[in-house]
Amino acid sequence: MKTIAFDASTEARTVARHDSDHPCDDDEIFAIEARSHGPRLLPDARTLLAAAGWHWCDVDVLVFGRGPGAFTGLRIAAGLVQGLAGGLDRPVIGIETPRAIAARCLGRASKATMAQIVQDARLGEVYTARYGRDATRGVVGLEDVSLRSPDEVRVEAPVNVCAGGNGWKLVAAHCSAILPEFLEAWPHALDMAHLAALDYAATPSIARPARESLPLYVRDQVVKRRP
Amino acid sequence: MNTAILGIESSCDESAAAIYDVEKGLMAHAIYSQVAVHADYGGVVPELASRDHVRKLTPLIERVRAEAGHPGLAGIAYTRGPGLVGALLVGASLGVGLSEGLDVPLIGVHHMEGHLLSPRLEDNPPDLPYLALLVSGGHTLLVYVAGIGHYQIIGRSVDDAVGEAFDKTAKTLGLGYPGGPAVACAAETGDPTAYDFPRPMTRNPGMNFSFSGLKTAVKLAAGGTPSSQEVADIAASFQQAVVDTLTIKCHRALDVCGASRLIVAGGVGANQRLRDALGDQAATEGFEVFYPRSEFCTDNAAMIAYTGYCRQSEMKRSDGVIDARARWPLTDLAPPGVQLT
Repeated sequence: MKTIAFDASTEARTVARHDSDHPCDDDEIFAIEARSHGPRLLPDARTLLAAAGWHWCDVDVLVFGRGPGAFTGLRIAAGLVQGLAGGLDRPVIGIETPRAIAARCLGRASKATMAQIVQDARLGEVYTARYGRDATRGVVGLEDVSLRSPDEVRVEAPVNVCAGGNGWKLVAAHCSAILPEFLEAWPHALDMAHLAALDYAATPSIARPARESLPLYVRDQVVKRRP
Repeated sequence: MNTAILGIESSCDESAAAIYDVEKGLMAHAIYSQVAVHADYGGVVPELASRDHVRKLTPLIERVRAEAGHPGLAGIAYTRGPGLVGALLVGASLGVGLSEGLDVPLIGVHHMEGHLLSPRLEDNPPDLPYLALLVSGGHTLLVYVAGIGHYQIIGRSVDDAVGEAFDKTAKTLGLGYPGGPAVACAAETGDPTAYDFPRPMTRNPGMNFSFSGLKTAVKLAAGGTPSSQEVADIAASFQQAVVDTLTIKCHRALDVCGASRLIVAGGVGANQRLRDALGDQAATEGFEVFYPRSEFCTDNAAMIAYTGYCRQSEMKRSDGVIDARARWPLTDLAPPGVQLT
């Protein structure tokens, strides 16, 4: 399966190309560059396509980081993928952003059985979730991603647990416990592409039409109602 | 040869898609209004607007493409600005992605130019040049339209837009949202002469508008707990003050421009009292007045697709940049094919 994956849910801009038949040829463009998602996501994808001699019609499935994360970035990626998928008549797989961070962490910590991910959600809050290994899907969520105050995050004992995400500094400020080994701050589109390939192999119906490619916000209270 | 242009609109609280064909005209259009989403807040909440656009636009695009019989597209036109930047970016990213996926050219169009050209979608379109009165929740403008891309702003609000004044008046009177239809409805049983509200900036020469003082006058009149008849009288008197102000300024502007055609666009253009007054004025003074159909008075994608058609010579393969302009002066536009330095 050939995929192009996008993620714009954090300050990182990341686009990847993955071919399940030729994983050695996988490639990714990754940059920490604020406000570069709009200008650069699609040009980066074109660069990756051209480097492999692919055309858009060669792509089987589009992948995007569905969040949670920065709202505008989530919608830029979702909108772009909806448009591409609609134009190409291809399905889309959305991957939870912290799951991709967990995949990278667990890939680096061979003994760890769990990754605890904490991402900065702004406004003094964090998105957090725990992930474990899975023989079929690589990495799976052990719970839904939640939005919490940093002092509400229950930190796992650092035994066979690794940590990832850019929100740990907020947790550390409220916590005297020993934290799990920190391994990765940012999501990578290449990890999303790999997870999507595993998900698709396990459950092909996980690939959805363009119209269903929607962000996962988690923070739903964004405005106060008039009294 | 492909001749259809897909229009995408997401500048504020309407998600819309349309297909305009160079030979067949408007083939399909669909609008999803977010009024219910924002009603509880008394105005548009930008984050909620953006969330709704990303849910609604793709189904709307699929619908209009199906209704039009899946024509081959000659290009895609999306609203690049002005408007709420988060909302605009949804339409922009979708437009850029679709353009790439379909391998068709793209253009980002100016929302207000869409409104200026919207009466030209009708069966009996106005010839150029004409004077345009653009009256909505975000804008109050008098624009002389000499040709496509030849726009001269000759009057504008120095504070609140007229639609904003309707919304705030409705809020003051407890009439709900959106304010335009709510005030008009309440005004039906009111006396338009009951309150002597100001006709702002009509005593001075010039064609600019100001509506914040009128809004304050309404607040003072509505102090305490007005009875339902008082609410109706205030609504009717406020509406009459707005209508008088707009008609006085149109009269002046038509004189100054030497124009014989007036087009009225924007949500407030659907106000029947305003239409009646301008109709009477047109009959007396000998000018023609044109309106887009009511669903094209508010934000819509038919006008975006049509503007894309008017600027088809500027359509090109996307550079891949997803970009939106929250602020974009109308006067930055040039005629199709002309690059402003």
